Amino acid sequence: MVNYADQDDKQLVGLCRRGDERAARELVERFQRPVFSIVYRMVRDRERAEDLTQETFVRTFNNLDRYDRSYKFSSWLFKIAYNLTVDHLRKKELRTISIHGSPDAVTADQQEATSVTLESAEEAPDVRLESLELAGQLEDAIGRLRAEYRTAILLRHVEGRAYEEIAEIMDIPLGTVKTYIFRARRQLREGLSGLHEAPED
Amino acid sequence: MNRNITTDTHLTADELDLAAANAAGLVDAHRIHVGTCQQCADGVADVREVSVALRDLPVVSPRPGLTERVMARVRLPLPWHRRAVIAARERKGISAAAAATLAALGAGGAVWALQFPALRPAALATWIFGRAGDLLWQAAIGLGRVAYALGLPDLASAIGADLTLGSAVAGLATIALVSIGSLSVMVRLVSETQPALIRAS
Repeated sequence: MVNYADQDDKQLVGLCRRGDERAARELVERFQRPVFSIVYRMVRDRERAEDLTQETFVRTFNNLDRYDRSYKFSSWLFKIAYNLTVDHLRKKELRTISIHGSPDAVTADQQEATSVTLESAEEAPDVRLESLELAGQLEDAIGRLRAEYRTAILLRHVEGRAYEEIAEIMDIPLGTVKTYIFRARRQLREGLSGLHEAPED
Repeated sequence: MNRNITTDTHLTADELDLAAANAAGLVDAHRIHVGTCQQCADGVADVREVSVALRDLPVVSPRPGLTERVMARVRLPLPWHRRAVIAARERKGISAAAAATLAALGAGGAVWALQFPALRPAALATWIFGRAGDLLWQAAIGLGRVAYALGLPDLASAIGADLTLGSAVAGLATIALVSIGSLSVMVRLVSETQPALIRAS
């Protein structure tokens, strides 16, 4: 009897290649949050982020024969997610960025459907509101970054990926990754310093 | 990696990360440099502030049901034995004819073997072992002839002189190894996953 939770990613991929559906489910459960998190912060629209996340997994599993086992499975998965998201962003230029819903949402229902629920640790209501507001402004600052900078810094600081892995995922040289992250940090820090000054105003 | 830092050079991206995390991997020279270089101190502050802010971003998760939606669209490869069953189901006429032929051959063979004492199991086993011994002798003699033809009379005579039980066993082991190797290659070829096959039920 296979205990799927104890298997590492490559072992689960091996089982998937032999047609084990439960191994595929375990991989989806394991990676849906990090993939969705990156994709959502790239496209800023819950429905589209879910569609792209879904498409990422479907393409991943339907092309398992192309997966090179010398790479980390997560790198390959993020690479597919990144390519899909960048394609989507190229097709549709975002006009505004908000956690409060898609810029295309017209009615309240559409706005509700496309907005995201931020899950925060248990805090007092006023503290929670303040932290959510700060988080919202930080999300906006992230959204103003160039797509490449955004991906690189999210992979580095939210998902904790190594520089080399980010280079693999984004298919760019290591030096470029470092430059992107350096610039993204600078721009975010400028945004954050604005946030710190705001309460005093 | 320990890199010499001078007043003209600054910390690399990796070293800034280490300094920001106050990690043990940071060498003393870099720590001292950060204390005296405004540019690197700013860099460390950037990394620290941004990484803390990004780490504290609220968790965003897809709505429940993503796994089911993904699995409904995934087409995993099927194991070879399940493919064989499905193929048999799809070709009922051919399968029935093949099963009937096999059954007829089996029944006919059983009747024939019972009518001829020489084909009863014990007699058959004796005959097979006898033939195997003959074959081994023939193979050894053939090998000697090849060696002689290749201009290696010493080797040929050595083979002839050493045709003992030991060489027969070694020959048998070689044949067994080759057979096992061939079988495993065949099994791998048959069980190798095929891309884009029928979806796992």
